[in-house]
Amino acid sequence: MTTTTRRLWSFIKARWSQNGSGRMARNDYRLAIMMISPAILLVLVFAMLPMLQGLYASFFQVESATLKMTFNGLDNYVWLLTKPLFWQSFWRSILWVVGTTVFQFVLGIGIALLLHQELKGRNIARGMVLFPYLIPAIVLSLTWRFILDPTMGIFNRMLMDFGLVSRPVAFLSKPHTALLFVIAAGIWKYTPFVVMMILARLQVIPLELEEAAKLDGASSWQLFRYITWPWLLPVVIVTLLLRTIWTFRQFDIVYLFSFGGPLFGTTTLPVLVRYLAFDAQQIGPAAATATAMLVMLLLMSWGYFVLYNRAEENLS
Amino acid sequence: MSKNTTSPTLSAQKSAVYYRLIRNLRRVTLYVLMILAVLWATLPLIWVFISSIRPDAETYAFHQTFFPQHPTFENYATLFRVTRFGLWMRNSAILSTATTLIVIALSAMAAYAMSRFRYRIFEVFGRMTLLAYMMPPIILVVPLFFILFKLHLTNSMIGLTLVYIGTRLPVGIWMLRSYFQGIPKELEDAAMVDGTTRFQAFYKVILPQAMPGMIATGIFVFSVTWQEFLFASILIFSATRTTLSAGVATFLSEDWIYSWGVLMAAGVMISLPLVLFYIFLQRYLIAGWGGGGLKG
Repeated sequence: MTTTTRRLWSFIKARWSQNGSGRMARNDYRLAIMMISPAILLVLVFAMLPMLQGLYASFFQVESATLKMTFNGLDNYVWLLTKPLFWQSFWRSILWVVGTTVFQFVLGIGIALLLHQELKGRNIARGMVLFPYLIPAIVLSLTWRFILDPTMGIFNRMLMDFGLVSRPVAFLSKPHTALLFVIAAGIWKYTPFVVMMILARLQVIPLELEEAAKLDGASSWQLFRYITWPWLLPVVIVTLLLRTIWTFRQFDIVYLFSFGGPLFGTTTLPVLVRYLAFDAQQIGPAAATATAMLVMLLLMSWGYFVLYNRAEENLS
Repeated sequence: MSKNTTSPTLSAQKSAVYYRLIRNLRRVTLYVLMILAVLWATLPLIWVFISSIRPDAETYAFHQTFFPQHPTFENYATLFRVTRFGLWMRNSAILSTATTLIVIALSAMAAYAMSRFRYRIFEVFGRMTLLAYMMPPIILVVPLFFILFKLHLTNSMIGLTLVYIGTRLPVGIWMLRSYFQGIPKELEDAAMVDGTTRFQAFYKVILPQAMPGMIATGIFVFSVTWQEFLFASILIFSATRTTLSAGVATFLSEDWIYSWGVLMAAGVMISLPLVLFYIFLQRYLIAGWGGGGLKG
């Protein structure tokens, strides 16, 4: 930390003398540094430093009681890769990300196209459809736990009334159904976000294109396929990138739903990191899992940037 | 002869009726779909509210009506009387307000400096904030625990506020930078010709221009901080200093006696400020969310 600050300081001094040609420029520079340094300091200490410490700790064996650190190279990573729990959590993460994002986009694009039609009351509908996005994770978890409750929940009451089940089902006590309903809750909460992004893009669609295509006698499917969809694609990709990243790192919803259980049934990678660090007292492997997540995130965003550039090129 | 003249008009009439029928059918379908979409989004929330004003005896009854027969705010009274909910709400309000104000002040200054001056260190910092913005909070939480431990700030609301500020700043800077870039430089140049210093020009001329962006960013930072669970649940470990999300989560552990009515009342109370913000400040919010303040 001290060497970093010293280096930063000498760098600032060097820049200062370079810019010192005029009093104005020097004053500007001093002001700019003064304005930005509190933010830099706080981001360094509370975001960058912990990230680097996390990377660092992933190569050490950490005693959780004394915090004594012993270098053990790639042992944490090897330990992880040989643990079935890691791989199960990895695949659950994939399932959680793919399951929620695919349905978010199918529903979200559908609802956005619907609310783009000239319908009475569509402005109110647009406002109401966004409500799930406002609901905090803890409330989402309370809501779904209540709805799915075996004895009091409305879902089981309805299933019984329609004669679909003969006895109440404890959906959140079974690993597979628990994960299924976490995914359903994720879809419910974040579809509005997709609706919002797509609607914003639909509102600025160039009308000449649509008119020209209509004059040429394009069917509504052709209109969508050749005009609307290419226009939406860049936004779809950006939104997909954001949603994938945030779904992948999503901790609160998944964890609060049933605390990673039953039988690790809802343990995705972020929940696994928490479990390893605080319940299993395995800080080294926890740091290694976190680092693996970071690498996966960077790979994902790189992939999307390639896709995005291609979509933008096709549009022009 | 007559056959030849009437049949085309008849079929034309027929197809016109047919066409109108299809069109009406299409419109009706669209309206039905719209209503379904609205119900899908709001029904669970309506159910939460209805359940919060339902007396427990009715919730536990075998036969249940959709609307409570004897609506009551008893559950809300119990929530504030029996649990520490009121205290957590106060804690969350203090934490979120302090975080929001400081983040807005610091990120407005940083974003202004970054949008007006081109120094290499700013570019480095820009990349850094982007990385910090993408970073999963779970990666930070274990090291943060030890950093706060060394600073003697674990189990302290000041420590938690510092963590919130440090992790929200990147979002604030990214949202505000685009706003400042959109404000013409000539505005402050004119003010400076009139004899103000650059800093005066910043807060007298530029800040008022950036107000909508700052409101959007502020509401965004407030709402993510208001509902934050992970950091609060790990960095705070006494029940009197914890926040809403982390506090209410303790209700869900198995040793707590469930009263669904009380839990639903808690759900309504936690969501209420955010819903009110949304209803009254919608236009700022949408602009902000579209402008880069995107979080899951």
